[in-house]
Amino acid sequence: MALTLMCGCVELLANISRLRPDPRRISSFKQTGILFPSFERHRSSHSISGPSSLVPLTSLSSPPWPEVKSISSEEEQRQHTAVVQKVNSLITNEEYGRLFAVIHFASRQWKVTNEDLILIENHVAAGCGDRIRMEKVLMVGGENFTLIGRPIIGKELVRVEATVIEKTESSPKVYMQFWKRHRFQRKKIIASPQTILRINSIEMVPQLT
Amino acid sequence: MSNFSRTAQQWATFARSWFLIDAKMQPPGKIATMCSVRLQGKHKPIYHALSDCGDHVVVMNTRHIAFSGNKWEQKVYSSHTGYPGGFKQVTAAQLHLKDPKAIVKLAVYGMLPRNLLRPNMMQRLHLFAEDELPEDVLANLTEELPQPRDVPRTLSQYTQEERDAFPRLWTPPADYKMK
Amino acid sequence: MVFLTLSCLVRSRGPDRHWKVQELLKHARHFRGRKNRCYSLAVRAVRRAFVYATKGRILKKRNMRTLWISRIAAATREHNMKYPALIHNLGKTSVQVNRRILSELAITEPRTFLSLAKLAQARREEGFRAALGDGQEPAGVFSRVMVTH
Repeated sequence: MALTLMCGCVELLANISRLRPDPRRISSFKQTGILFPSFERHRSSHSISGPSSLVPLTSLSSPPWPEVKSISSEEEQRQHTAVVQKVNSLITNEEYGRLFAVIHFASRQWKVTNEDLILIENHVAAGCGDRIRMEKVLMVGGENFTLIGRPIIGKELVRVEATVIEKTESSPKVYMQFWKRHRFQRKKIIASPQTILRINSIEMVPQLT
Repeated sequence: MSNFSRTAQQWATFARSWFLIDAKMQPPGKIATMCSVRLQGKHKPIYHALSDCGDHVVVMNTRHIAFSGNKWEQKVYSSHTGYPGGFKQVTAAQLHLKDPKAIVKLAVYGMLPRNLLRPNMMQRLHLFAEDELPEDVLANLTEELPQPRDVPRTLSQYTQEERDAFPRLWTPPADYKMK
Repeated sequence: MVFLTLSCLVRSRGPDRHWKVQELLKHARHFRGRKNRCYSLAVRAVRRAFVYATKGRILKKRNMRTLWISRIAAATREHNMKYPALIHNLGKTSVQVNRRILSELAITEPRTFLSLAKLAQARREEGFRAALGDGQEPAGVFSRVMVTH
């Protein structure tokens, strides 16, 4: 089982809010130059300072590939243990808020949380009222961490349970084919079987390594 | 579920931001792609073609755009008045002299989807020929987008030392007469 | 026509045109114009509507996929990556979350999406490092890049 943890950036992430449109009202014209450098650029006279080296930069001044930085293996190991420890403690103290999980079920992926209803457009072998366990969990996330399975999170870490609530049929759908001028017409009425599941619980065990 | 109100989040999600683009020495096509993405709302993860989630875009310095190649002379803008003999063709240079906003406007218009929302999106595009923006537009701006191309420096902006240090292809002989 | 007794069923024989017409007009009642009440006009309109519905069910899957992709692309660009880089590198790290879930995560779980983007970025840089080797030019090759000004 391979498992990726990307939680070392908790503090960093807290500062990032995706909802950018906070209209920063600009009261005076003087502030404009700070927020929008293009104004200052044009207002100031043409005194653009040259680069430190007098030789102009060309396409051959630096290699064309992006600068890649590597970290040593012991540094990586240290970061890994720190992250694992932190997430384990979060799970032990149940400081994760409401968990969500991405599960693979009935050849589809579902993002579910507690008490969700999911509708599966097929038969399920379990009978009504049966409690089943979803074993293919691709991802589990809490407030401050996400476990990403590659591709699946181990069974001993996460337990997602669901109950079969209802087995029914979909409303009839008309499948119709028609070719003009060819005397060809097919009409079939299709009603596919449906199953409704209730997600009962998503539980985690602090056994990350 | 959650016991806090999501009203503020909802408002923030669907609020319209105002972007500023400085078109000085920029290719109009690049400016137009940036505009059309923002006008359609394709830069948001909540994008849907019918949900009208586009933002406002302010483009300034449209008079100072830069075409590459010989587009100023060769690029032709055609239109038809609908009357016989009403087929008009002007080059980019002529159109630009007549209306400095027209080239950017046509470029953006052509990049927006051809549906009933296109006029509404065009209304959210604000073009200015120079860098003077009215106060009410300035008060709305939220973010300036980086320019797609570096603004080149003119020869007068280089110092004499830099000019001397520029690598030479050929050193003229002492008795060479410049034409 | 409802047959409450067997004798009624036996008596009502032959094709019952009225009920056949009603059965078809049922699907045309919301149409515009005479199509919603005249059988001979309605029959073609209903057939066409059913064909559209059948094709639309197939098209819906395709259109939803393009929508998810444009949403993921928008969210990815917020983190200074491009869509192909994200998808390719997530595949390389064998994260098999599909595009529907990815776009859902981009909307409802932005921090999870950020961690996925970082994971893809890390994999990408790893790939770059592997491709570059130790950063040295191969022996016997002289390039202008090596000459520092």
